[in-house]
Amino acid sequence: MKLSLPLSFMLSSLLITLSSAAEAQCELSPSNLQASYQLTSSDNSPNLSSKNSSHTSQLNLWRQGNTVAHQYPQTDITESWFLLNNKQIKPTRFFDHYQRGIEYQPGEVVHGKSEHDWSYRYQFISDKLISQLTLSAETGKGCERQQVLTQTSTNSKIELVWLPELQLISRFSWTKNQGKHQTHEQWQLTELSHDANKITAFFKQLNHYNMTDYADIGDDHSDEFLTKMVTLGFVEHGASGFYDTEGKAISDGHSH
Amino acid sequence: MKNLNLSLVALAVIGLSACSDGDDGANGTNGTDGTNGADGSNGSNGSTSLIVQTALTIGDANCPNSGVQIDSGIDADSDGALQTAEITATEYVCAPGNTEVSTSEILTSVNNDWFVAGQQEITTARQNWLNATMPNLAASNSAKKSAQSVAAVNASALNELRGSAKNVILFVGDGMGISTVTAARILEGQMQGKNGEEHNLSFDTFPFAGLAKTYNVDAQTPDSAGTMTAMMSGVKTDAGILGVDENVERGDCSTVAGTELITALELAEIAGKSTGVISTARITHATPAATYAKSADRNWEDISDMPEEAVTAGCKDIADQLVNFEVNLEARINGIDVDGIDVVMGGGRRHFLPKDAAYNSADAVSSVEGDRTDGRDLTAEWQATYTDGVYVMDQAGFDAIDAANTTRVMGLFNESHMQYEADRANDVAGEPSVAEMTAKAIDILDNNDEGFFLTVESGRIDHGHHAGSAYNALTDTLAFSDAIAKAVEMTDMSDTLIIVTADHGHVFTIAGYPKRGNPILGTVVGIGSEEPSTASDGMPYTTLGYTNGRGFKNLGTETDADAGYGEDITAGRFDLTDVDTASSGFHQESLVPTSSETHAGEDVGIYAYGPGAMLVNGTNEQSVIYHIMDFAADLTNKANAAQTN
Repeated sequence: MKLSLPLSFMLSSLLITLSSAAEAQCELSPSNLQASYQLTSSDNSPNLSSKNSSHTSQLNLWRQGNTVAHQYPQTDITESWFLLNNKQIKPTRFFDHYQRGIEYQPGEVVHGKSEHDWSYRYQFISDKLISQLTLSAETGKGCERQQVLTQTSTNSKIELVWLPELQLISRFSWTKNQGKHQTHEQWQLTELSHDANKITAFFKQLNHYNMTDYADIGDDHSDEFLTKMVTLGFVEHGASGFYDTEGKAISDGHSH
Repeated sequence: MKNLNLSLVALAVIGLSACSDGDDGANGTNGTDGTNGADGSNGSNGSTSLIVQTALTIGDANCPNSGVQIDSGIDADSDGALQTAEITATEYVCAPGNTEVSTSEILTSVNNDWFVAGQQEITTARQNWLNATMPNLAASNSAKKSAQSVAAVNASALNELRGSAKNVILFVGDGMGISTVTAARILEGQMQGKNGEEHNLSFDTFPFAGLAKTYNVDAQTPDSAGTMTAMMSGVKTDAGILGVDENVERGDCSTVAGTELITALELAEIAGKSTGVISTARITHATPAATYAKSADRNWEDISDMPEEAVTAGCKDIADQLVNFEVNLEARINGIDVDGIDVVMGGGRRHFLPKDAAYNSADAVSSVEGDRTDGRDLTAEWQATYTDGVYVMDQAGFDAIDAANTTRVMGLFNESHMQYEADRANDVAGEPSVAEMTAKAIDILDNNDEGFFLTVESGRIDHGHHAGSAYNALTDTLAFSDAIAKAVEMTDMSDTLIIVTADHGHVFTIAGYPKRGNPILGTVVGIGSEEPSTASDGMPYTTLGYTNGRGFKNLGTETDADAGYGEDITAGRFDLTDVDTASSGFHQESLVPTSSETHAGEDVGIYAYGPGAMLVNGTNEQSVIYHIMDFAADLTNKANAAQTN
């Protein structure tokens, strides 16, 4: 379902067939969905040649059971995480253009970060950070229920519109002021789907990529993809997370 | 000079009688003898004979070990001294030569511990050689044997040596080059509170050692596929291919037919021995696979890794070849009856299971553990073929194996490679160490009176180096050393040949001038100093380093070297002043930036113990290892005998 309407309207459409009993509780599964976000960042730093630099990109969130994927269409890279029964997290990185993937061991450090907080990857925002925000408004019922959570300090302001039943960000904005320098980042949910076939097809496609165990990269220097993999556009630190006023990741206290 | 008048000889003058003159006539009769005249006057005294003794010191030309020079002659000028011109004879009485040097005479050598230890090593080496080459002679007083008889015994013993190894164990440390052995030895010693350099790993004490040239037929710096094929088949071949000769074109299934090589493990199978393959890597990875598989590409670990044309042409993936080893070998060689590989333990479960979450193991780390796209569950097929076999996938299952009453085991302990030893505790369901697997395998395999053939690979030494982590490479080397010690402990050197070697080295160096006992994982601190040495850039540097690779990482307490792959490549120099370089997450600096650190083309060590071990010496082509094992266990002849029976 492609959405360009406000989220409240979108959710109403999704739920219109639900029974009245279901209106009080959400019967859509948060563990099987696809959500698209538009990411907008702007920076009016006086050091920049363009005084009002702005950048827009897209990020897709896919969930299927204990697997979550972050798809970056601009770079043809998808990062995926699988939650094990023992709560360890196994990362996998897919290079969509090459239909190749690199598998990592559960719990290992990727880009200096060891994966321990499932909520951070599952929701883009950790439960710990959410708990630090102040609830300022709550509206709707069932799947429509949404919370507005904020945190304001001298130099920054965070506002999160949160869909607790779906464990999903509807909108996130963060503004940081430092003198005349202001940076602003906003994530806006633009599409939400629970189409099981679509979700299954997405993960099935990833599963057909030619996979390489990270430990085997050194074994075969005849494989040009492996030789050059590190220059193919690895996702930069914190690309799928948020930063505090000091520029550090604000997921759950991890720093890069 | 000391003059001695040994004697004075008086000369007597004897007077002669006189006769009167007369005409010549007939001679008259002789008159009667006149009376003796009066004694003449005494003659003058004769000359004195003199003898002169001169003490000679050590080093004299005539008496090198000292002695006495004896000059004799007449004192012609009666001056009481024997002048040079008066010497008519010279003799020497020499002291006997020294055959032993007293400790007091060469204190700086023989009283030195290093000197004494060196002497003992010579004694030990000599005894090792005698034990290995002429055991009967060694038991007697060999010193009394003539060179001829020694040679005769030697030749005889050498002949008897063929087939004297009932059991053979080949340990392969993947990527365990000389510098890795040295650094691991130091690390283990330092972990025990020693300086470290003087310490020995378990196989450092093996009596025989040599070197292997590791190049592949087509590569100066080799890969594991080509090198392990050389060791297992006696034939050097190309990089990237398994169990086939150099006529195969990598990745081309159609070139395989007719190039298949027979391996030592296969010969042992045919000869009736029990066989086993262990690896801490995937059991389908190049090194273990070279013992049982024939493949145009090392990467064909399961059918999903193969190009369609290879599958269509009839080539089989490596996991398939492992499970069907018995039937494949019997099909390839007429007139044999083998019972398959008895013990298989390692990682790589993904290559044996269908790509279907329904087949996930209890400790799967992926949403879909299996990779096979043909729907086959090879673990089930193996269990169906070998109903007496035990399939295990975790520590608990491993521990439950009753080795005395178990004849066949397949243990696949991880979806991919098994854990680094330093990271083993983090495994989901737990997995055994390489020492535990080795011990269990020997316990099972030695139930066969015909003996056994076992290969054990420590596969992740290589991976630690590739990731640029000396910590992981060295701690896995120590675990490997423990496994070798366990094998020595559990076997008898009179009937078990143990060979320890590596397939290749790495660009891993021990550099600078650190003082004795300096932490091997630390920065260089020079002799007599307490402060780190600095390079010309003013910054400290580590003893261990890599010529190429991903470079410096500081991942703290991370114990998984592969974590470094998630970091950017950072070759070159960094300020290590405040970095704990001994931490498990530290990755050494590298010079040349590459996506992973590479193998090296240097020679590797071969260490041997048991019957036939004396054949390991000098510098050899790597393929010699097959021939040594074949000779020591007489594999070919025994296999031939089994084939014709």
